[in-house]
Amino acid sequence: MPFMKGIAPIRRTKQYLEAGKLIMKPEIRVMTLNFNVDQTSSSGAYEFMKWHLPQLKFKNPALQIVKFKNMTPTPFMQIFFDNGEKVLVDLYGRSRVEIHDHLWNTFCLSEEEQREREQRRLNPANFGSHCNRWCICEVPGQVPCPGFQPLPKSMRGKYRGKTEEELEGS
Amino acid sequence: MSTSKVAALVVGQVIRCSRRGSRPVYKVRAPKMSLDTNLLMYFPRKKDYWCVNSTPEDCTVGDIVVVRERGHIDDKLLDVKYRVDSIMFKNGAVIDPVTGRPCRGTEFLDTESRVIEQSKRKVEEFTKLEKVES
Repeated sequence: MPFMKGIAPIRRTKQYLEAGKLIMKPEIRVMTLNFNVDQTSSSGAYEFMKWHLPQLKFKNPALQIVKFKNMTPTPFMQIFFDNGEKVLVDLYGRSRVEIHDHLWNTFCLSEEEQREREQRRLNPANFGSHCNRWCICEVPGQVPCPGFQPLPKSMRGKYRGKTEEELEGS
Repeated sequence: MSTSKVAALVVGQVIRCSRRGSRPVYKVRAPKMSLDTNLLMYFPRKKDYWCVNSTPEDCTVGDIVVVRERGHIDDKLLDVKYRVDSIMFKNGAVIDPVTGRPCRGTEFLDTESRVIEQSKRKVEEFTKLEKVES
C-alpha cells in the first residue's frame, strides 16, 4: 500500500471505499454532521465520520457532506431532500454501528434496489455516461461515428427533402 | 468556461454581501469534498454561489444557510441563479435544533446569563463614554 501514512490508512484503499454499503436515495442532496471533539456522547458520531464518511462519499459522489465541529452541545445529523424537506437525526450517545444501521434502514437504497441500479448500468442495451459503452457507434456492425466517417448525405439533416439527383450533384 | 450546471440544493456559509442597485446579494461558500485519485483521500474544495435572500429574516455574513436554485427569475438579476432558502445557523446566535435552545459551542446559553452579558457590555460602553468625556 503506497502512501499509507496516517491513522488507519486502510480507509484510503480502493477496496475499503468500494466496500461501502450506504448508497443514499437519489432525493437526498445534503448531509450535515454536527459532532463534538472530546465528548463521550459524541464519540459514535465521530467514529462514524472517521470510518464511514469516506465510503459514503465514494458511493455517493453527488451528495454534499458538511461537517460542523463543536458548534452545538449535542451531536446530530441533518439530511436535506430535493424538495427542501429536512430530517434531523439525534446522535447523542449513539454508537457508530447504530448510526450506520439507522442510515441504512432509513435513508439508503436497499440491496435489491442497489442491484437493480447496477443491472441497469451493466445492461448492454444501455449506452451513456454510467454504462459500459458511451455510444452505439462503438459496436461493430452499427453505423460508424460521424466524427470519424461522415454519414451519407441522405441521412443528414441539411440535405433533407433533396432528391437523389440533387444529392449526387452536390 | 465549462457549461454551468445549476445545483439543486447546497449548504454553505455566507462570506460576502454585495448590492445590485438596492437589492442585496450574498455570496455563499459551499464546501464540497473531492477525491484525490492518487491518495484516495477526500479534500475540501469550495464552490461559491451568488444568492438572493428569499427568507423573511435578514442574512448576515457568517450565517450557515441552505441555498436552492431560483426557479423563475423575473427581475433584472438574471445571472444570480440561487436563493437563500433558509438560515440553518445564524452567526453568533446558533440554536441547537435538537432542543431548540440557544447555544455557544458546546455549552447551552440561558436567557438570564445572556441578558446579564448584554447589560454588562452596555455598562462598559457607558463607562467608556464617561472616560472620554471626562
